Amino acid sequence: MGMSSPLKAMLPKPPEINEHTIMHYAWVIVAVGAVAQMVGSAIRMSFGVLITPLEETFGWSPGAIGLAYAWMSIVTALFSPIAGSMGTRFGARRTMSVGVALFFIGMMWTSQTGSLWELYISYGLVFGIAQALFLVPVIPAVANWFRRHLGLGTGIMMVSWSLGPAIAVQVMALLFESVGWQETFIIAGVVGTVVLGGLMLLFKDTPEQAGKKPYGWKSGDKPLVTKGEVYNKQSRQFQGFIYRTNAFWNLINIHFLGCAGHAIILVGIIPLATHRGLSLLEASSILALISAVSVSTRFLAPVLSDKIGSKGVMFFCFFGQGAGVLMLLWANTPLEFYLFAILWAVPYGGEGTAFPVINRQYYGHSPMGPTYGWQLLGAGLGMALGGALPGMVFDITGAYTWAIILSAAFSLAGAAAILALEPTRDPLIPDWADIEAESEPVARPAGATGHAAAGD
Amino acid sequence: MSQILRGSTGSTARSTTDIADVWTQSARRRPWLGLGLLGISIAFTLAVVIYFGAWSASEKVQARQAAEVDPGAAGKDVSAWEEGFLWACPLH
Repeated sequence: MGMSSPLKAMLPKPPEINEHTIMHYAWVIVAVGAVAQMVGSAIRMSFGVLITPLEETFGWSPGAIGLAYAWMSIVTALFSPIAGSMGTRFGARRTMSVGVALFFIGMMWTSQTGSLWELYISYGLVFGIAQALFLVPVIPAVANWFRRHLGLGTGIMMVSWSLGPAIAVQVMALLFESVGWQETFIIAGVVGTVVLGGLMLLFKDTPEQAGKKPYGWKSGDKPLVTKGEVYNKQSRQFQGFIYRTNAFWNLINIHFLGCAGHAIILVGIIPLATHRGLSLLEASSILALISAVSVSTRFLAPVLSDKIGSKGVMFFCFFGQGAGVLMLLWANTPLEFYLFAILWAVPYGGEGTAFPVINRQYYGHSPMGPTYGWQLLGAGLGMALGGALPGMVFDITGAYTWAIILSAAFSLAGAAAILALEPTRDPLIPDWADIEAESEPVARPAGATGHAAAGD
Repeated sequence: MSQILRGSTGSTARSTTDIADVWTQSARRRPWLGLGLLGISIAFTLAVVIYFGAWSASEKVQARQAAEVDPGAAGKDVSAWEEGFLWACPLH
């Protein structure tokens, strides 16, 4: 299978990559991933701006237009596991390129839409699939570029989740005002496609494909097989074992509960605050404050998860998100709402960003695409449910009390489910790097696996 | 080359050409715990949606009944989604 120890000892050891350096191609991949996330989340979040122009042009009801958004969210969620598997099977770059092509078609078609069913297909179905294809495979691809310090790479990329919508919603609103909704979609489609298409030229699925070493690589690490027949066969086999772990199913459940918990607040906070007497401007600034403060933990949660273990960090975030939301039961003044925004945004920001790190800690360096795709299915369905609940509850009761209680219940149930996860000290299945090394007919230095799991 | 694989329990297992054997022996598997918790969440979510959906349907039906001169006629206007929620919820 391999080479004897004396012969291995004679092989020259390649130089190690410095612990932290900015001069590494992994950061280009992180930047590409961040921009892809920004474009996707920006177009998604700016849908609200589209409602009034469509209502005025076609006379459709806001509810019927909003259904396109709900449909798009569900399509993205349902397509996430497939997108994750495609990323592993065909490579992230190819999968994302198909997503970019569909993004262009979806945006152009939406700009020309003349009926509701067309909107449901162009924005709901085509753009929904496009989103899954260019948002899901990018995180596992970034993980491929980090042998160690994945939390740092993930944290930097996750910051784009907040920055994208913050910048793009303003730009889209300005475009709607100045050139109209159809031209806005054409401009956003063309610019987005050119930017994403250009970035795809820089994107490499794995460091091995680019002839480079991953970030945090040390001379004792075994190289990973990242394509070919052996890779395809073993990744399918390994995924079969992942399906048989508690963590695989429980992490889908946890992501669902966490997203349902915070979606209720994100969608309901402005109507809740105005219902309690705050002006629209004051209410909007609560949401802006939540976005701004959450940037800190979007970055810190994966970094800390890498250092001290994901389970504790995730429990803190879920418990804080659930307990913190109860402040809204008594909040009435702007000051109380702002205090809530600052305190709640800290755990909320870290709710979803540690998942790539916990996947690495549980399943080593195995392909993450299908596992992460399934987790995003849970997240997407949670967001869809959480987004629908506040309005539904208010219509019935004339208050948001039940929505707040449900939000707390979902997040605290997520925190309880985290306690049922195994500690992250050891992988749940023997490390992928060891297995790969055994099956490869190429000599390599023996030693560390490169799996730097932090323990809870 | 023989290779020692470290299992999660700290024990060691010698690899064979059939890697799946090693994974079978060493993997920590408790799928029923995760599936059970996911099932509880789905059941809770369905209960919440059905309860609030039926509550909403019940309110709408009552509002229409109150507005009708002939209360018996209001029942004819119950839409399919209202009927579905009211049928599914044992509390409404």
